Amino acid sequence: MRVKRLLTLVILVMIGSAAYGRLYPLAAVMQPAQGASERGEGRVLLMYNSPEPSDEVKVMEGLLQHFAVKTESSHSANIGDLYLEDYDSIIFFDSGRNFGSDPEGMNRMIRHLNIPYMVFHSGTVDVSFTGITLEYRDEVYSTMPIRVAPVEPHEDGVVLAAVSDGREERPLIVRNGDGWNVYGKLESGLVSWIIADVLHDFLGEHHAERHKGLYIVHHVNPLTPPEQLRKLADLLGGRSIPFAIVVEPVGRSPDRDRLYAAGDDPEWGEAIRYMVEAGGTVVLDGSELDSLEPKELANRIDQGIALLYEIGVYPIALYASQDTVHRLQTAPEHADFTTTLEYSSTRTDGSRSADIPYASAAADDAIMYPASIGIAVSDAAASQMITRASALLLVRDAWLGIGLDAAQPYELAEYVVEHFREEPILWTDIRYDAHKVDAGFIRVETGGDGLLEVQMLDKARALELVRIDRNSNVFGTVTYYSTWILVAVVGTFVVLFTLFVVLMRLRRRRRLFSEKELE
Amino acid sequence: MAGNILFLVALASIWVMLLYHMFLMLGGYLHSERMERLKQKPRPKRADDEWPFVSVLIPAHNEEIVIRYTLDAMLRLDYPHNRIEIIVIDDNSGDSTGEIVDSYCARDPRVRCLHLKPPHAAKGKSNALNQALKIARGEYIVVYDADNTPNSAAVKHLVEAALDDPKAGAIVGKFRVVNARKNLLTRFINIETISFQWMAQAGRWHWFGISTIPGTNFLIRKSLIEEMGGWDDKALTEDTELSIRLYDNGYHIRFYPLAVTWEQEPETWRVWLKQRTRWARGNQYVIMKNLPRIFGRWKGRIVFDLVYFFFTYFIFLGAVILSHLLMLLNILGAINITLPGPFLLVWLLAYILYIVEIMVTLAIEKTELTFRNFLILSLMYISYSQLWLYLIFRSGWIELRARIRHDELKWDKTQRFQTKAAKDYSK
Repeated sequence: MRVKRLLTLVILVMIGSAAYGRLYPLAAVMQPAQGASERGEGRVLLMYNSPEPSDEVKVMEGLLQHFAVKTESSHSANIGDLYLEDYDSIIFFDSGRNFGSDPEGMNRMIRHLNIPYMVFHSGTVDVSFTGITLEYRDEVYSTMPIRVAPVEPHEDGVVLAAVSDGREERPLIVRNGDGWNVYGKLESGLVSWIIADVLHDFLGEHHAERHKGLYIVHHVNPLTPPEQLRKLADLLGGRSIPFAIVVEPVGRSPDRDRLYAAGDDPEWGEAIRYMVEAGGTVVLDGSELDSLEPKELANRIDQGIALLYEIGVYPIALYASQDTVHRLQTAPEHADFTTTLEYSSTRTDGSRSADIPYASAAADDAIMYPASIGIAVSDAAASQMITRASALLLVRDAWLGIGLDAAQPYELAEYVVEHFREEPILWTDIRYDAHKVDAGFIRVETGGDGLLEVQMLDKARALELVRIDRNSNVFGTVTYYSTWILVAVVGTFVVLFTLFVVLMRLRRRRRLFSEKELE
Repeated sequence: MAGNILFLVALASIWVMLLYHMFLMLGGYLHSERMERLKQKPRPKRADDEWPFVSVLIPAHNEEIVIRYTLDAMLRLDYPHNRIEIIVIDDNSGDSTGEIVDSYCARDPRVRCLHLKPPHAAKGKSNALNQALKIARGEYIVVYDADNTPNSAAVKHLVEAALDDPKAGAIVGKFRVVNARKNLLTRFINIETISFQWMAQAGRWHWFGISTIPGTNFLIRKSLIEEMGGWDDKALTEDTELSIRLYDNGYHIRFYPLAVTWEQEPETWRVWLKQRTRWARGNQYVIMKNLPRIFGRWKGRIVFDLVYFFFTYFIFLGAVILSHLLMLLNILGAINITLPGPFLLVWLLAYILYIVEIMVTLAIEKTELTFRNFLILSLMYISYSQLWLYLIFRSGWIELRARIRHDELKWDKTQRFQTKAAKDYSK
């Protein structure tokens, strides 16, 4: 990491001390959440016979991060090089096409290992059958169209989940001893959530059956009115509900493309600190940086941290798409976040959600919280979010990232909060997890005791980052106005010159320069 | 960030020039209106003896194809015969130019022949003019290239303009392309010359009282050119160089488009490239020679004009290349321009402005505002105009190479073409 000049400033901030007494009893909330295992650490082999690992394989890799297992992926053609006996369980994605392997032969081989195995018959789904309801654990859920393979349940198998098109019911998941057959694709939404739940039984890792959640306040940038931020803080803090504040330290006005930095308005900074005192945890917003190259992305992230430092708040996590998080890690010098709030898809209304329904431990000390059910960017989005949340509760230890939109009327947020008040959700205060942010010039760390340790290692770098931002603000504004003035002036002259041409054309007979016609 | 800054630098450099030309175009139009009104006024009557004596100098090196038409046009000039001499400088021609010129000398007393032989010959146009200056008897010197066929009233207009304006060191007339309809290249050049004269020459004259001697169809006081030591032998574009010296001596150059001549322009791309490379090298020489003045003391209006030349040949073209490069890098995703603003509209306006400005200049000429010229003009932006980028690079490279090798300055004579029209438009 780049530490050019060591100027160490240790700031011990006892976050939310005033609000501490109003918080949930955190010891109860903080279960051994991200993957305690009854079997110890197991090894799971993911096999596929498509040319490249499909999206299904990637989703499964994400789901397995919730469990205390090591995951390896391999093409089925390489089965001869693997010691299958060393694995505790195997999951096979059968694309239905034989790319250098014998699926049936391989299935037989796996069965003889006497370990749990799961086969996804993705390649044989029947497009003529469209399931519209899904039954799991005696509950029936409406769903987006689901296609499943036309397979009769095994005679002695147990149907764990079934799909119906209103006339015919077909099994989706069938368990037969160690064998688990899935007759559909591991798609986002209900199917992936059911698989997420089934994996607990498949891996034999039984987590506490309780639902946890976190309110995530989105679209908080220097253009968000401070009064709105204070009202949202009161809405959640007044109910002793902890929440995350996804802060974008630079705001761009929609009409003039002007940039506003976090430090531009002291009142806005004051409002952010008020939110922190009310139980908010600051998370840096990286969702607007999706299109940037790794180097520029890393620079903007550093800049965001520096701008937040300037107003006296410290991010302990990054909110970004899974892709952006991975891209950031490829930059030669980048801020390291052990905690991320991730989403995997963006809808047309700007709402975002994640396929993974629970928090997961991606690597050593790393935590990924899913922004799972979307953002209430409108009344319709709020309704969809509520529907989605009720379905997500089928996952026994689901983690619900419930998005509120600071740019929407306060009443919409109030409606959402009132709705979830009745749900059996334990609100998580992520301040009491262990987090670490190391950006080279600054290090922010918390050990899970609510105390935040901030070390400023290179203040000159921080000042430089903040200054660059301010310059670009003026730069952009001047450019914007200058080009429009240019357009106005040139446009006027174009009209004037056109009139000259017309005028001279009308007076052509009398024109002075009337040399003879050329040949 | 670097991409944004470079983009702004390119944008600003390009638009400084475009806005300046827009301003010049307005001046050019106003000047043409003034000329229209002037044409309506009756010219003062002068007895033959009241006209000053004029020496017309015509440097000629291997000009057998065109010299006959040129001399015929000279003999048709509407100017008192006893007040004009036409000195043809046969600059060591290897063809029949000398014989043709001699035949005219024998036929008409107004024509005088000056045959230059080594070591005083073939050293370029400046040298030829300096040699003729030594024997010229006129109070005024008028210069024509050997391919020119001036209108019969051209010299009278030049002299009248000089008599009207004692502070004018030189009077510059207008030139038109005699072979404009020959092919696409000559059509391009025709549009280029018309727009140059009505935009740059007339515009600068209208607003700032500045114009540049174009090398032909101009008048200069003999006493002045002698006082300045004649033409600069080292200059490839002796006209630009002379213009600057005139301003340095406190005179100005008057653009007077009533004096019209017709000249031949290159009909092949090879000849065009050679000729324009020489011009570009010549102008770069003048800029470099006067560069210290641009960044040093500010003296007179001509420094303003030198800045203009400097911008045109270095800053503007550099900015255009930079702009092209940035566009390419942006398409390839190598850089990301994030500045806010209506840049697509700005680019579109640049193109529209280019077309409308030149349409104004074409409309001033009675015969040129045609749909065909409009189409050619639209094509010109992406073809002929872009070729200038290559041309500037080429001339810069040749000049650099010549300096490194200490090459002796070599005058490249422009190849002439047989043009029927050459004999028709001087009448």
